[in-house]
Amino acid sequence: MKRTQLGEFEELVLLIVGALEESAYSMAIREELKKTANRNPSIGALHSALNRLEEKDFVKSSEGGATQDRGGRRKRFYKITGAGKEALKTSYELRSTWYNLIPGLK
Amino acid sequence: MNRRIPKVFQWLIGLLAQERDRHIIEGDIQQLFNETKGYSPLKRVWILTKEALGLLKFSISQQQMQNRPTGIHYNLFLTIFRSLAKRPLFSFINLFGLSTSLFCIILIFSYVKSELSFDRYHVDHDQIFRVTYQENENEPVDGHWARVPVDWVNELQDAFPHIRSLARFQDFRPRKIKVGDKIFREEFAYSVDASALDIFTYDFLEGDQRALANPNSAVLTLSLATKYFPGQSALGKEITTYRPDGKQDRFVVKGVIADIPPNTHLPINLLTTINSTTDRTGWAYVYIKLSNGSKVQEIRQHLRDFVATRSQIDPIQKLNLQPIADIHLKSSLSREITPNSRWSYIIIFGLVGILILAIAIINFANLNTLQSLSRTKEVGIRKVLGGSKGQTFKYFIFEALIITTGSMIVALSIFFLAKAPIESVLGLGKIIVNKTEVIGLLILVLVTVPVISAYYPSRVLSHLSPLIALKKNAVLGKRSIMKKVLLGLQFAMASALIACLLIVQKQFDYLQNKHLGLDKENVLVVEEIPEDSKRKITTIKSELGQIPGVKSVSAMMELPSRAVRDGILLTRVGDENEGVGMDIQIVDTDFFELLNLELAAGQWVSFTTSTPMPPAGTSFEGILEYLKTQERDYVINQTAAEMMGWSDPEQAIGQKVTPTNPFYELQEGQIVGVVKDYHQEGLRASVDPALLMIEPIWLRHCLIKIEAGKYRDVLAAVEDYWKTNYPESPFETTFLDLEWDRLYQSEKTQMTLIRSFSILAIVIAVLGLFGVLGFILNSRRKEMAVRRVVGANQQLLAALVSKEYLIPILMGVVLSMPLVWYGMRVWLNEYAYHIEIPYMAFGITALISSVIALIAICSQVLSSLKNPAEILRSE
Repeated sequence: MKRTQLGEFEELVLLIVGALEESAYSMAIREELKKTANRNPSIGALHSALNRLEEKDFVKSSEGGATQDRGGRRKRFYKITGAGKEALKTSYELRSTWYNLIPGLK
Repeated sequence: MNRRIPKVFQWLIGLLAQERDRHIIEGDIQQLFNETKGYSPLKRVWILTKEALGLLKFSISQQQMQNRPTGIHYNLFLTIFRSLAKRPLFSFINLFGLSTSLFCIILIFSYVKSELSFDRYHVDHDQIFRVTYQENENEPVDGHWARVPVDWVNELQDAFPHIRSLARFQDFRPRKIKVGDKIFREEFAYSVDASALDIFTYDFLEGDQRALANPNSAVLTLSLATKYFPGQSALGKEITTYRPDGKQDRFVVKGVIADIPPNTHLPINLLTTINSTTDRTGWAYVYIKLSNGSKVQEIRQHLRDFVATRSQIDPIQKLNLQPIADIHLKSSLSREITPNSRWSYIIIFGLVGILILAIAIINFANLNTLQSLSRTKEVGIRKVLGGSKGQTFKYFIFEALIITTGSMIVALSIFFLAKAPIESVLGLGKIIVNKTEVIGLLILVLVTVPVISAYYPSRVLSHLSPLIALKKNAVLGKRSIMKKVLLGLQFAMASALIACLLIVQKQFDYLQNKHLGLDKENVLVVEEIPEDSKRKITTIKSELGQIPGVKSVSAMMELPSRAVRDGILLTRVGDENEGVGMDIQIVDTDFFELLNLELAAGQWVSFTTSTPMPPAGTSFEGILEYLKTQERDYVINQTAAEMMGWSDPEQAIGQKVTPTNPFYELQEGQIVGVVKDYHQEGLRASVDPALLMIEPIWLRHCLIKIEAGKYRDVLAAVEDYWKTNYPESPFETTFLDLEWDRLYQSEKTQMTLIRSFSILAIVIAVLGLFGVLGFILNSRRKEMAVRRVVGANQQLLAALVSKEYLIPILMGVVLSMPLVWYGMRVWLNEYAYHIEIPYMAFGITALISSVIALIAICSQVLSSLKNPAEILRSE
């Protein structure tokens, strides 16, 4: 059975993949996480999140863009899928519903 | 160019990531590695270690995600990680201790390997030999030279068909070289036979092995080629070299070779051809290469006959053949090309490495035993739930394996990232690392360490009956004597290192402060003064003397701190059969006063010319004639006086003597003074007998005594003077005290190494003690609590525990001392001048070790004391 719910970290990564559009690959995502969320996951942790997202069909991946900097290794670019967007939306709606119900937060 | 990520990482990624993710993750890590380029090595290691752990987690999560049967492996990792995290002190001590000692071992191993690799890169190095020379076959120690002065050595090749080629390396003094209108002085610029390129293996970038086949050809190293002809090919360009008498030779560059690797006794910058057979003469380093399949023994057998038919003196001289791979460690003859290392260093380092590894393994074994014995319940449960003997055994071995692997990764990363700073701090020179061998060594460690340290506890535990293991108060491993013995052993090793350190330090201070018999401070040296200046030395002295800040000026042949290169046989007039071989030192009238030498008898030699000095360019025969007819007085040193049979220096005064040498003869003269012994070569060697005389044409260095603190101004003025008057020659200076310090470079290196290693060793040992005590006290918690309840105070408890552990520790320390005493005596005897072994050092060592141990014990005891009510309540 496929799990379809989003973990907190997974959600963060998925958001960034969506926002980065064409240039979403591991190290760029890591950079964004560092800058905006003040998180510094290890490369391994990031890849396991990305693989999980792919497993759940929330992202699609394609390879390209080998650079000198990476010792000639290619990057794996991720793109958010429709299901991914759907999941983000569900999660957002769920959160905002309850958010609005907390008195004094607005 | 970016550096590739460490091999360990590539291996780790290959192991942990699936095919699909492998290259992507490798790219990520590479990118991270490059981004962190500017960071300090330590920080980089830290970041990479975190990533390595992340990868481990990644691999586990991947297995989970794919719903693969993760089985024992996943479980194994997980439980092992949990159990390590549960005992942070234990894990830290093991990880820290092991990784530090592994780091030391990698370092020592690479150092020793690179020392052993000298000259082995030449193809067929076992067929290449250096010919060395002894003046007298009956006295093996006296006058054994790395180079050969006799011209009949050239006939070796014709006399022995086994010798495929023979090459002379001449002109070993720094050579003056002109390229275009620039003047350089190059070290290691030899004139050689064309066969040199056949004997040694050089990596030709341009040209080939036949580069020196025609006369007037030269071969440069790449760095020299780029220095002389920046931005263009050196091939076909012309260089001019100057002979000591000013004659010029022109050479065309026919080949460029890669820079010579650092692991050779024969560094090379430039090779030029010997252009005529008349030039194949004089002192030369001579190398031969045997033809394939011949045995050097066949030549050695007949070498004496070869010499006997050619030697013109009696007793005859002797030639020896040294395998070139042995030169760096086993040869310390007169006139080695570069200072060689010694076997004893290799042995010392090997021993230190083994000691450190042993300390770490003992730590590991001790802690492992203790902590696994406190885990009997865990084992009992495993067994009840169906774990087999083999599985339990595997579990413990695996745990040890993981800690060892982790330490290894840390050690390797530190080593490779911090290699350059280590080399420069320790003054080791460039360490050449053979990665395959290092990995081989590590695999060996990886197999042996866990087996040695975890085998015993795993055996015991895996054979445990679950019934016993689950009993309420299962106590395993009675107070084992073993761990005390091991603790004692550990402290024995650590304190041995401390004692060595103290003694070595003392010897070193002694060497630095012993009175040399001369004053080396504030002496500026202008090296290798040009030929034409030697004849005007009196003028130069008076002109330089006028520079403000200059106290006095003199000149000499061989600087104190460097070995004298020429020897002479001194005979009494009327008794020519008996003579004493001695060093010959050329000085100048002000030499004695400038260096503050002391007279034992007589007076200083003064300068009188009876024969006009031969003008520059005089023929060899002309010079011989001049030397023979020039009247002169001589000064000898005390050692020489004693060897000549004048035990009282006064007896020597007025004696008539004749100095001779196979190549020239000097006019007989009388001894006017005896100088008190001063050290020419440093304190490792004893003072050789020496003859001091004046002969301007043999002067080589100019000495300038400077008022303290004025050296900057004086240096500028002297440079100005020299460049105006002798623009053709390179101006090179040094300071006498600097040269002197350089002599002790190798001792300094040894000091730094022993110091760092012994500190590490004691840290690891103390950590081990800490860990062991922690476990012991934990298992004796209740005992301690009961003792407190019935009235024992903290001091009493600390004393109780100290007594138990301090005794084995002190015993270890005491037992190690005779070994240290013996080892240090052997080491000290290598020095001509050395201290007596200070027994205080042993006392201090024992004190240091016991204080450190006591502190560790007390702090552990005190920190383990909780409220007895809390401890006893749990029953």
